[in-house]
Amino acid sequence: MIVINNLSKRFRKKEVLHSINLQLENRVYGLLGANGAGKTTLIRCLAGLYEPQHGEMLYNNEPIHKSKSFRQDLGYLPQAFGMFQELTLYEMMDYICSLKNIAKSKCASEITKALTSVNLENKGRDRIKTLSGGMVRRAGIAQAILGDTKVMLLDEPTAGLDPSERARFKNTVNALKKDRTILISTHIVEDVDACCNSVIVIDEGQVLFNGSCEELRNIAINKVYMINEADSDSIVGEKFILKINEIESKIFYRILAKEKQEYQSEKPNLEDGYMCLVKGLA
Amino acid sequence: MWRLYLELKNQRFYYFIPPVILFILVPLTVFATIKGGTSSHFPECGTICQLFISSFAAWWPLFILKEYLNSPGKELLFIHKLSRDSLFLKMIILWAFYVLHVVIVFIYFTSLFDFVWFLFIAIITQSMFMIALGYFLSLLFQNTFIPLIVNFAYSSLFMLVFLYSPLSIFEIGTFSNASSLNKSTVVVIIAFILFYGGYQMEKRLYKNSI
Repeated sequence: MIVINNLSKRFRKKEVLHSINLQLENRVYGLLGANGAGKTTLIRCLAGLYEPQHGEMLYNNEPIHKSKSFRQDLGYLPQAFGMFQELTLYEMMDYICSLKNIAKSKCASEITKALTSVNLENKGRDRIKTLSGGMVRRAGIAQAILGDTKVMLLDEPTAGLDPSERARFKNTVNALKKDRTILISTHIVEDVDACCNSVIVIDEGQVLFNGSCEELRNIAINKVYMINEADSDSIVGEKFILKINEIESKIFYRILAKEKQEYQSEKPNLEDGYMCLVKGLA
Repeated sequence: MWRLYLELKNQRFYYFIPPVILFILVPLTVFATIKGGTSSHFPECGTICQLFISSFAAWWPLFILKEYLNSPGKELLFIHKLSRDSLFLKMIILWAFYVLHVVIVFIYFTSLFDFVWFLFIAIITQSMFMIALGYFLSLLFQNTFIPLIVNFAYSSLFMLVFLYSPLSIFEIGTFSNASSLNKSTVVVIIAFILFYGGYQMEKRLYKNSI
């Protein structure tokens, strides 16, 4: 289990993380937030790339920066992944095995297992630079699970992927999630809905929400309305337009409203709950 | 060493540039110089060797540093700190590897000239300086392009234009005795200072790596 207590990180005068407190167990967490909210900084602090100014991070009650087991158990997928472009996929995996101190005798089986789990077992001899964007992301996940890692930190793993690659990614995560702590940073709410058990919403370096997907959805109960364009001015109180749809030549707004309206409310989805939080309509 | 092998392999076509320079261009140029005149050609050949061999010493190190400084996902190289490679150590190993190549070239030169080993010592110290300079500048600028340009500009300027400048690490002369290595001691000291400066920056690079 990972415990984060009172974590703060500042870059010069700008405080990017403010007193973060979290407990991460063996499940899949979606770390949701807008660009610049502090998701990557939090993940990099956890991975040991940044030293926080305040607070502590513990892995099985041991400080992360001193924990050998955390290093061994850690799999990390950076936001941009694509180093060693001229090596084959197998060689790149071999390099990561060596970095992770995986015994030479186990490397071949570990690499095969990791590549198979992301459906890249036939691409081992291809150079990294010849792989598609989606394949490179999957290769990134494969390197993250090398050595049977127990903790996976995935920083925006679906950024730049087409819908079919995103679906494949979600299936991969679902296949891997057993007995692992997986933290997926993203700003795509759908991805969290599809493969995460829990959601952490972060905004301006602070945790706004930490709970299940259902709980996040419930925040928007009686706050989501689908109304005709002509009726939009009749909404009472603060509102936020989520979507504009055209149905049979009529314009409809999907609206988040802070106060209860006279219209029939809609069943909220995860995005509604998230927007409620970040727009201060909760 | 396995990781270093893969890093060199990752250079693909670019890996072969220094061997081509050392084993084809330098011997051919030296051979052509000897065939083209009548008097002793050793000083001219010394100039050719210093120009080509020393300036290409930093080639492999700079291309390896590029992965650590500029590649997408470079953070991964810093994550597993318990087994992390020291870039400084890699620079020293690459220098030794380059020296092995230079030894082969100089074995060929022993069949052409006397006293080649003073020139050899001058060249390996210059190679060390070039690698140290590349390492230092790369970490200073977080970039390998500027050091590459500085490397070739420095070699060309001081070997072809400002031959007798006190800022030059290159030697002009016959390399017939130990006194022809006057500059080499200073060059080694400066190389160590650059390595030290680079190593201090490398430690910070790992500490706060992005």
